This record gives sequence, structure tokens and C-alpha cells, in this order.
Amino acid sequence: MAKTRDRWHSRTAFIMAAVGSAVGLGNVWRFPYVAYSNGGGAFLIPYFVALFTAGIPMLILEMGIGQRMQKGVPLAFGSVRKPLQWFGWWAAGLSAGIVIYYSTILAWSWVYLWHSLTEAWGNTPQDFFADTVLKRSSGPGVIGWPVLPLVIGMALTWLAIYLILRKGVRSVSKVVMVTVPLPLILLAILLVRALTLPGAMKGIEFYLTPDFSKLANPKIWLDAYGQIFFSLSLASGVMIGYGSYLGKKAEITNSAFITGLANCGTSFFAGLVVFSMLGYLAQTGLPADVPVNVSHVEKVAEDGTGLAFVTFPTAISKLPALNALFGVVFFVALLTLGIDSAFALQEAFTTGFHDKWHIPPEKLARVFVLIAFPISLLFVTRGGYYWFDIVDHWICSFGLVVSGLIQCIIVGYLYGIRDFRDYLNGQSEVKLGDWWIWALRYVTPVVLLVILAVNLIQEVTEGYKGGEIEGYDGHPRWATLVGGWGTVLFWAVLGYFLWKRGPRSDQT
Amino acid sequence: MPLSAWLMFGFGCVVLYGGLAVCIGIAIRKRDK
Repeated sequence: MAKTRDRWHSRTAFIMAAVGSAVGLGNVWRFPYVAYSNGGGAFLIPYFVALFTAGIPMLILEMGIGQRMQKGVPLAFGSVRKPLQWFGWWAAGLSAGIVIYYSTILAWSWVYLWHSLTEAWGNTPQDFFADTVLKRSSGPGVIGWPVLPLVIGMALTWLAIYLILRKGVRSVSKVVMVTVPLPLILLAILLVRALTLPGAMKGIEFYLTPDFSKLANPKIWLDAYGQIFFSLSLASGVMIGYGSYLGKKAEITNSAFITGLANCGTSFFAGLVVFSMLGYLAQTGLPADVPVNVSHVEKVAEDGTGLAFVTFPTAISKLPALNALFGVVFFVALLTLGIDSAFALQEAFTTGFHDKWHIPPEKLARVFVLIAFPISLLFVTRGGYYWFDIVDHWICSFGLVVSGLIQCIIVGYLYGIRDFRDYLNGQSEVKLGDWWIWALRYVTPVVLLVILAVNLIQEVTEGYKGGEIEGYDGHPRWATLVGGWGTVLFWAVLGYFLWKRGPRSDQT
Repeated sequence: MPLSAWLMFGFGCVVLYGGLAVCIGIAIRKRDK
């Protein structure tokens, strides 16, 4: 029985959802550090080049394909060539894989939200994170039982995702009106607080002062493309799924520009928040009359989980007043940043089932959460941190890069890109020129190929060892084979069965 | 803060927030037509 496809409440709701999906924890904990360690303000140049030659063109591609086909990633690519449905399921499977481990960060954030009321991390935030919160074991082979507070955090996360997705894009349209602006307001509160403290401007100085000599290093350009690529929720099918709920006459190009610019604007803004806090933190370790210099900031500058769950709690504890309040502000900001990305990833996967088997959104959300929740508990066991790190590394360094590359090849060479551009120009506010075709046919695939080659060479020659953990020699080979290659291959196998299964008429 | 840092701050703001304002402006203008 044919049923009208669900629609976004408004164009604003669609853009908010796309921005919410793109803006995530990486904007806060990755971009500022990548910029700082890659030439400070000078990093903006390769970053903007990457945004306009790869990020926004890919956003237009994904939103446009979804909108034109009116299908999520599996059936959208299956409409181009039948066997490509397999690729579509694989790409969608990667997004399911991501949300399963990404939920771990939200579980940590719930636990920290609770602990921020009493600043339970005290003077040893590093040990608190590893020993009290994670109860981290000695390696991935020592898994142990799930840690109870994290299980509660995980349950809250999955419950939130279910409630948000149970009515599909109709409920998402309402939720994003709160969850997208809220973290920005909270970050602004933190920025205002930090700017009134000593050392904050010094921190921002080290974040923004350009070192143009670094632009000659190709690694910085690769880092810029990598940052743009991973930050915009590309290659996982999220934007294709979201685009598929747009009307058939909907505008695409300008919406993609707004999404890309809003995402990068958030990163740039988050950098001011992070480095003003880091500047203050560096100053607190010094006598009042000694100004902060670059080596002091270097000591406290960190990225990833270290920044969010060790450095920031330390800085919050050292605020002169209202520490618990600012702790709550920070962790609510993390939760609201992360939740939009999490449900967007789940939606990218489940949209394929909705398209192919006409399963209602509520049932899809319920069944997915009931399956994903127990699996995600692996990441909150005592050895879960190691598995989290391995799966994250493989899906991002190999899965998403290959998926992005295949998408560019499909649309750039198989789909009829000029006709597609004319279609987009026919209903868009910003007209696309040949630059868009060049970006998708040459610039983005070449950059992704280089990133893939660098990652593969690194994997073959050194192997992935994971972040520096005291007393830990790095991930053993068997763990990276199982958790890394195993995860990427698992979705390929599952994708094959999902492609082959189902009513013949739907196997487009 | 040195002038070069202020200049990069201005550069970032103009490209990102200026660009965003232009795009939103286009969207509003087209909607009103």
C-alpha cells in the first residue's frame, strides 16, 4: 500500500536537523586542537578551501540524491545501479555502527553531568575518568562486566533516541528546534565566563595567531580535508536520509551552504570557548604576575576524550565560583551536541528499512534500540574503552573514507552528474557551476584516496596502537582485526543480505 | 593579542558568519517573493 512519505515541518526544521547532525562533539573537542596544532589561525585557509571544494559539494550531493530519489541511502544508490544497493546498505550500516559506539560518549556525559554537581573528580580528574568512571581494565582482552552508572547513562541515551525517533521526522522536526540552538547558548555562557578570567585572552591568542610557514606542509591540508569530511556527517548516509524527507520541489544548494557554514562557524566559535578555558587553566598553575606562554598552553592543550572529561572538568573546578553550575552547563552542552548526531545516524540506517519494507518509524526506532542497546553495553564494560577506540578508528579511517570515495565515483561518473546539476539548479537559490562537478569528480576523490592510502600505509607499517595510556603497550593485533576490520566487514556481509532480501518489486 | 591573530579572527568571522548571513538572506528574500 503506497503511503505518502513523511515530510519535515518546514525548511528551517530540515536545516536545523542537518546542522544538528553535522555539529557534534568533534566541533568542540577536535577542531580547536587540530587548528591549534596546525598553524593556529593559518589553518583557516586550508580549512575553508576544504569546505568549499569538498565539504559543501558533498553535502549538496548527498542532500540532492536523497531529495531527488525520495529514498534513504540503500535504495537511493540501488536506483542508480541495482548492485549499488549493497553499497548503500553498507554505508547505512556504518552509520548504525557509529551510533552504537557513539552512544558511549553520551553515557559518559550523563555520568559526568551527575558528578559535576559535586565535582567528584577532585584533584585527580585523569584517575577519576580512568578508574572511577570507566573502571578501565588493562587491555581489550580483559572485558569484565558493564559498569553500572555507565549502563544507566547508556539506557538514558537510548531512551532519548527512541523518544525522539518514534514519530520519524515529524518528532525530529520539533526536537531539533531545541537541541540545536541550546548547546550554542550554553557554549556562549561558558565563553562569557571564561573571558572574564585571567589568561583567557592568552589562550585565544595561541589558538588564532597564524603560523603561515605550516601551510607548506601537505599534512595540514590533509588534516583540513579530514576535519571537514568527518565533521559534516558525510558518507554515512545521514544527509541522504534527511534529504529524502524533503518535498520534490525543495531547495537544496543554499540549504547545503547554510549547513556547512553553520557547522564550521560552530567549530570556530567552540575554539574560542576551549582556548579561553585552556588559557585560564594554564594561568591557574602560575603565579599571578607570570603571564601564560605557549609552553604553558601546550601542557594543558588536549583533544578528544581527554579534553572533555579530564581537562575541562579540571578547569571547571578551578573557576572562582558556581563551579557545579558551569559543570552542568558544559555537560548538558555535550549531551545536546551529541544527541542530534546520534539520532541522525540511527535514522540514516532505519530509513532504508522504512523504504524497502514500509516498516513504521515507531517500530523501527523500538526494534533498533532494543537490539543496539545490549550491543552498546560492550563499550561500557571495563575493557570497553579499548573497543570503543578501535571501532571508532576503523569506521572513520577506512569505512567512511571508502564510502565517501564510492559515493563520489557513483555520482561523478555513473549517475550523469551534469543532468543532476541541471536538476538541482532548476529548484535551487544558488546555481551550481562547473566547480561543483570538478570538486566531486577530481578534488574530493583524490583527497580521499590520499587519506585512505596514508591510513593504510600507517596500518601496515606501524599498526594502530590507540591513544597514549600509561602502562599500556597499544592495541594487540587480534583486537584490531576483530574490532576494526571485523566491524567494517560485518556491515558489508549484513548489507549483502539486506540487499538480497525483500519483496522483488522493492529491489530497485 | 597580536594584530595577525585579530586579522585571522576577522577573516574567520567574515567567511563563516558573513557567508552564513548572506545565505540566510538569500533564503529569506526568495521565500518572500
